[in-house]
Amino acid sequence: MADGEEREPTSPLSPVAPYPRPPIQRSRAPEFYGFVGWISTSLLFFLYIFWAILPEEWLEWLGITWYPSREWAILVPAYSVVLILLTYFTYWALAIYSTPPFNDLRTVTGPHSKAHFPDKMNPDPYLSAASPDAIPEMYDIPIGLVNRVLYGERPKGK
Amino acid sequence: MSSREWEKVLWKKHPYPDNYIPHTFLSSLRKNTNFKPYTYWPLVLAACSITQHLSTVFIFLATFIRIYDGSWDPRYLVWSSVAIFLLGYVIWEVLEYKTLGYLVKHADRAKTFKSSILVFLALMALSPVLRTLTAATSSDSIWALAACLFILNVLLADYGSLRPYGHTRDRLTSVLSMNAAISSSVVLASRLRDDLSVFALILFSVQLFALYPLVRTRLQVTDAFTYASITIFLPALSIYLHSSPTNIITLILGIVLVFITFVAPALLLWAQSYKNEIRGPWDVAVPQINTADH
Repeated sequence: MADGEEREPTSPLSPVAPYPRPPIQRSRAPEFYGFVGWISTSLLFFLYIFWAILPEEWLEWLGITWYPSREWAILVPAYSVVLILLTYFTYWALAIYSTPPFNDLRTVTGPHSKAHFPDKMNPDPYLSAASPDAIPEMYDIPIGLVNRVLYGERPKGK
Repeated sequence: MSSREWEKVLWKKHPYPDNYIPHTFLSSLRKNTNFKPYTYWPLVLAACSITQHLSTVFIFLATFIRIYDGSWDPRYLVWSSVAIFLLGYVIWEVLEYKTLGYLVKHADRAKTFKSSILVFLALMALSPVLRTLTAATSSDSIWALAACLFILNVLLADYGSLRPYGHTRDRLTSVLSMNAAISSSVVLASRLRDDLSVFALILFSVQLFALYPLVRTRLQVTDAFTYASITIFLPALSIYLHSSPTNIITLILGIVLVFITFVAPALLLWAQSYKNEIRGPWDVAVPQINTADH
């Protein structure tokens, strides 16, 4: 059983893995599955073509007395093409459906936003970002502050 | 260019642009590293198991047709099933002796016969139930259902050979395949008229779809000559049984069997010349876990 010893995994007793690495013995089954898939899909394709286009007398001459209605030869591809188009539409519609409206509070903050509570040791976390070599911490800037920076102070009259 | 050689590390600052590719890059490209060319006759021998399986399916269908139109007496089928079982059991024991090197224990033999008698009696008791199983279903649906189940059976069947000293655990697909074949024969048998025919047909299907694959996996590793001669016998029998009802089916069956046995291996050999597997240092490393298993 020298073969079995070679393939043993490394352990505290034999910490060195064999080098050069033994070739990985992969199963050849995927090659055969691929081959069978290739052959059977090409066969199915020709069957489909013959079913779709051969005249009825020819099929009867071949000894085929019953086959599904040939309407389906057109209908199934047509339906599946529409189904593919429908997936685009469906995902788009789902995205729009789950988008909150503009006046919803979820557009401003949410359960996963990092709260802007000031740290006790470092009372203003926004200030620490101002130092030139700092990597700023991740915070959600409160909407009030954003508006203040973008649009200036609130007019006095109102 | 620069005094510093390009290195494949991200943590160093290079004078090279980000998308720089050294011109020695493709020198480590390896094509078809694990390439093992097929040879024709071993492939034909491997394809024999598929031919045998298809032939057993068609032998079963021919038997069903004969019993359905009443040209065969179901009693003969019962006796021949019993004879096939005894013959198959003797062959199985001889093969076990050849592969394992010791005889099957007496207790195991008794257990086998006990369970086979149990299956025999259970099928006999169940056959009136099975006969009326699909009484409310039309025959056309039964033919379509049986065809689908047999196609499933052929697609999922385990065509591999028995690895000596390896795992003998069945894979899920082969169990599913056997179940598909047995349920297909049950629904076909439910079309028959009397209980004895139902019993005979299901007994025969158990021989063909549950027990014969066990013998086949053992036959495949022992002797190529025996295996090839069985592969000639079974398709010949299936074509002979199908030759009387209609000619076109015989023709199609013959073409399919010849294609699978002789043409498909040649096609696979031809297709292998297009194999192009690219490997290189850019591949994801594959951890080798518990390699003793494979």
